[in-house]
Amino acid sequence: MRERVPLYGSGGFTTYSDDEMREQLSRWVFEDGCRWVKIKIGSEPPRDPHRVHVAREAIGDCAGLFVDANGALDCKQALDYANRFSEENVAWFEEPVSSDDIVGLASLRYALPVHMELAAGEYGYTQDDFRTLLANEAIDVLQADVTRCGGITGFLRVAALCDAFHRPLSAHCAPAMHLHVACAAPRLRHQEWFHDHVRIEQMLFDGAPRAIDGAIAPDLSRPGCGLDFKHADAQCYAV
Amino acid sequence: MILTRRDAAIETIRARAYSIPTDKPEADGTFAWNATTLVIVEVMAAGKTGIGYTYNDASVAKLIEATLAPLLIGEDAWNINALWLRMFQHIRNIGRSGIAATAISAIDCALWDVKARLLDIPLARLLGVWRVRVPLYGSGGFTTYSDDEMREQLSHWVDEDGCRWVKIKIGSEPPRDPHRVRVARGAIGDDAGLFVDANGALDGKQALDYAQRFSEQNVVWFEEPVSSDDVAGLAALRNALPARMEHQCAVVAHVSARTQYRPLRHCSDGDFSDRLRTMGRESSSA
Repeated sequence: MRERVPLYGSGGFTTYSDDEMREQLSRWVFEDGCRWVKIKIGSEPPRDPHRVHVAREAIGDCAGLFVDANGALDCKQALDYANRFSEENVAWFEEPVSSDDIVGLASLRYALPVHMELAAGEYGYTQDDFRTLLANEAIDVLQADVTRCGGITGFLRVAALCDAFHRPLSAHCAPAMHLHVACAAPRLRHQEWFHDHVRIEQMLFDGAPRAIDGAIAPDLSRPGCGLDFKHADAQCYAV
Repeated sequence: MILTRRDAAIETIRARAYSIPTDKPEADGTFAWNATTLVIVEVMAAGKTGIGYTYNDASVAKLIEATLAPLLIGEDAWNINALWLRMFQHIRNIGRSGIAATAISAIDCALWDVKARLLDIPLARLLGVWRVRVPLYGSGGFTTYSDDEMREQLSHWVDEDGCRWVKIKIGSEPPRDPHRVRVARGAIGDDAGLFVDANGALDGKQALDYAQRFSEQNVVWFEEPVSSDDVAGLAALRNALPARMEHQCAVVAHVSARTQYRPLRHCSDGDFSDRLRTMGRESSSA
């Protein structure tokens, strides 16, 4: 369906200082060309409006800003923070409440500011998990992770579900393993360029993709998934 | 092997139509015919030729050569998903269902054939199989056949080809159908499954009446008892059919656009509606 996969930079951990977050986010936008970045929220909710403000200043007005609460909030809290984040034009609110709370997600989805999409799905393992989110109108963007949802086969089946429900799909984490199937999946909007996994994949895999103009592309001169594991480099981490 | 890492530019696309007379007149509940038109398309890329086809009017061949082929010539045959999307985007105003969808289907099959031939492997290997054999049900029993012609066809499928199920057409003259269903059951014996297909010829009440009469002959599949455009009618019938027929109410035969399948699923798939009911209970207790 596409020869390049757009990336959103993902990190902004709640452990970072404002300066660390600024440096990470601005590098993704201004050096790697990412059109969107995502920060974590919810460890200390009262600090988050400030952190969102810092993130917006770091990336400027043109880049999209995403937040991910990893299910840390309850519904009323989530709605309150969503309204405050909308001043900084946050475009994506991931797992504002637990993704096990389908009714909570569905009710929040319609209550969020109209320009703010609700995303969830990283804990989907079976087709029924994803169908439940879609059929209950619980999400604006479905997330799926090829390393959790049944591999290439499962990911393509999730993509077909998204197509049937007219919903976009976003690939969660593990960008090197997603790359080829992300090119082939209908309705795929973007791939999470997750700080932690990007670092590991570049350390331990020959052929790990690099961000160019905010996207990654398969190296068609390499067979298969394009990756070769660097056994020797990994040895010191063996457990 | 290095060849497969290169682009495979599509060089030519050729489509031809052939009208093949039937061996005898054929009819179902809503249509009659004496010939069947085959439209075959050949796509050549990087020296390999793939074939695909559809059974539709000869005008499909013209649509393929004049309208769809120019979108594909020179493009990389490996990128089937992108080419598929380009074709469907291009025919928006022509109308997706029917002529255009069948033309694109034939081309898509040819593109998959080309891809497998470029790799020099069977298409099933390329796709990755769930099964290595596909069970068949014999399908014919046209309403134009005499009882003897139908007996001969059905018993051949069951006794010689080993089919576990057979299907006959009904609905041209509904009052004759209970007799025809009895003849079919007599021909195949008690062990084979018997299907009927009305091709949308009946209305809801008629269909239910005949379903109950057919159930004496243990009919396990009622295809398009009413028009597949009548989604509410299908859903109502499904719950009213004899229990043995319940899960065999086949509704997809004439549904052409892929997004149309989901509303049908909503109405007719037991697992899905059961799941919704379950979730309703979960949410009311939450």
